[in-house]
Amino acid sequence: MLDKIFFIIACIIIPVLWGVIVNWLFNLWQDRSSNRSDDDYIFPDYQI
Amino acid sequence: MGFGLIDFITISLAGGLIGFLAGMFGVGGGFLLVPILNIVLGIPMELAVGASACQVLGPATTSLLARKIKVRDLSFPLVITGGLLLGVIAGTSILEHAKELAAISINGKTIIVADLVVLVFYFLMLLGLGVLSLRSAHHSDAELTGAVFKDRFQLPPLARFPELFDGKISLPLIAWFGLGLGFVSGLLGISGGILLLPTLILGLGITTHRAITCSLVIVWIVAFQSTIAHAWHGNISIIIVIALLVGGTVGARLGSDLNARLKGLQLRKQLGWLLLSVALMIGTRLVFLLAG
Repeated sequence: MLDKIFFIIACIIIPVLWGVIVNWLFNLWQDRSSNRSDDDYIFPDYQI
Repeated sequence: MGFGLIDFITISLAGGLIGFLAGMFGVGGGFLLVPILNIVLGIPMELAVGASACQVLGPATTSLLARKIKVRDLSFPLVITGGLLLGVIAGTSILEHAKELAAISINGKTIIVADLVVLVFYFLMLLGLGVLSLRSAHHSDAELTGAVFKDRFQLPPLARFPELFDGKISLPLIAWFGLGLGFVSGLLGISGGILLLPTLILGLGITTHRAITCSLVIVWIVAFQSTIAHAWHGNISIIIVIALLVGGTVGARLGSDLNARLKGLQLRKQLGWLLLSVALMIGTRLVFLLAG
């Protein structure tokens, strides 16, 4: 039972953590590549 | 089911291709992922469905963080959550039931019931969406806006969502819509964006920009619930999910860059043909399965 709960938590944490890291990397890349403010950046709507 | 480096790279490349197409057409790509994982790469249906549902959480999280969702954007998605939850449980339960059924024999060929059920549902859904997308390709965005469901079904109790649209909407209608969406997501492993957006824009009359934000929040909630349900039933392989996340992110980014250069009508037409092509692929697979 405990294994199952840990597995469920891992299944949620891994993709969410991946999403957070990707967002952070894109923000970092955006900050370095231009001087535009964060609000000017229109993120692509690829996850609808 | 064991996976080597070659399998990991193959799944990543498939995820990249699907991510590219998904990014290009502005959809999640779950509807492409499950048929390709199962039919092309031979991954068992329940693992394909589970991986598809789970990996959506990654790009959906990125998108939510990038969009800076406000509290007012959460009201409609939270109302729909009850229906979604029951739908996801029903969808995953049917998949689980089909998985436990013994394989049936048609024309001397053994068929896994779970494969048959999921493929038939996919075929019907993609055929319908493909035709709808091709038909809508003849109309501009302004012509497509409407509120067909909201205005016709005023079953009480009614509620207001002033941040999304004028007037009132039936709460049972929202709950049933959530139930249907959750069911499809639980059974087929899709995030539901491809069904959500047309319904929010054409059925409820929400503006495209608001509908996209609303859809993103709902997709995240659906993916969250679906991941828990599939993980509980042991339908998720973490390795497949990681491979899809790696490939899908790069592909989606490249696809969304191309998306910015194409026009809406052109995209809807191409999406329609893509949906019909996948439906044809599934139809062919079904014929081979049933005809032996």
